[in-house]
Amino acid sequence: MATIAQLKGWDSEEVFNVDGEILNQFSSIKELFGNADASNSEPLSLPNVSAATFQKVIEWCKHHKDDPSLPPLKCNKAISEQIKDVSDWDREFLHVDQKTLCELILAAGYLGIDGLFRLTCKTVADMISGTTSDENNFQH
Amino acid sequence: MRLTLHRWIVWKDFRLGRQSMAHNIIENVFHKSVTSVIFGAWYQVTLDARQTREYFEKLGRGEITDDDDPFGRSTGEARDDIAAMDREDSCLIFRHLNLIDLSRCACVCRAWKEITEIPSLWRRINFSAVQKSVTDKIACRLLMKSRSYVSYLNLRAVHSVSWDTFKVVSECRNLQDLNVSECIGFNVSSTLHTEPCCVLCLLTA
Repeated sequence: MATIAQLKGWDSEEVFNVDGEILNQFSSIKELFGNADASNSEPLSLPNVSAATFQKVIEWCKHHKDDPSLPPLKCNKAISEQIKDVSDWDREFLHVDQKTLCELILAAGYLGIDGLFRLTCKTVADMISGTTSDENNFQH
Repeated sequence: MRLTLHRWIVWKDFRLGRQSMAHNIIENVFHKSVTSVIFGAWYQVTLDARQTREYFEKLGRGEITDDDDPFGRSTGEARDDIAAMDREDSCLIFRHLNLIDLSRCACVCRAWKEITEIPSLWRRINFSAVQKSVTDKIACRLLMKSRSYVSYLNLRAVHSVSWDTFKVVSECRNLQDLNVSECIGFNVSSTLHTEPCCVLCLLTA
């Protein structure tokens, strides 16, 4: 599919050409582009996403482009019933250090990629659970 | 001689009476001063305790940030990635955790404690998943804290809670789904009769 958006991370000039299938998954920014042909306009800089993270986000989106859209999370149902288990590909994909993982969460939240956002949150939660508060220095 | 003796006895009784009266008065004054010292000290202690509590409450609300914050919130050090996220985003992470993990997270740092206090985390309380570590005291404290938000409560097969907990359960006004199957010591009529839960729609006993 033709490129319809040009995006770049905040920390480098590297431009990513994003096609419609992937752009559709960025629910919070896809309206910015609409149907216009953006191939000859200025690339849009994403303030919260670094180039390396964006690369990974695109990789995930390519793999999951055929996933059905997710129903919104409901407060009155247990979270474990609403979010399915992590697939092997995803587990391998998220086998990264904590900093990258957190950047992925921020990027997924910012771009509005529900699937990736839920997946990363679940991964972090799995990392937290079962540790004591002293071990639980996720930050340091 | 007898008359003198009699007078002396009368005088002696009078002296003894005076002495015991004086003794009583002195004792009274002594008790009063001791009491006032005790009360004074007690008042000081409560005053200090209140000040301390107010300080920590302010700290909890994030009103005091500058004075003794050696790590410096503004520099970004000691501020972890989860605390730096949107509250709603971090809330989704914490929703995956069970009660034990959540309590541990509350001990990690101030920012995490604030996240664990988000009401939407406490809409569903599942004691059943951590049934071995639930005691009356813990259950009561958690339920008292979240009694206005909790809408789903699972106490299935939690054997260690007793009447005290069920009394607190009856104060959860927004409870819609209550599971008390395999629960020893639960008495439906007595719990729900005292404080009727108007919105309770599903009860599994």
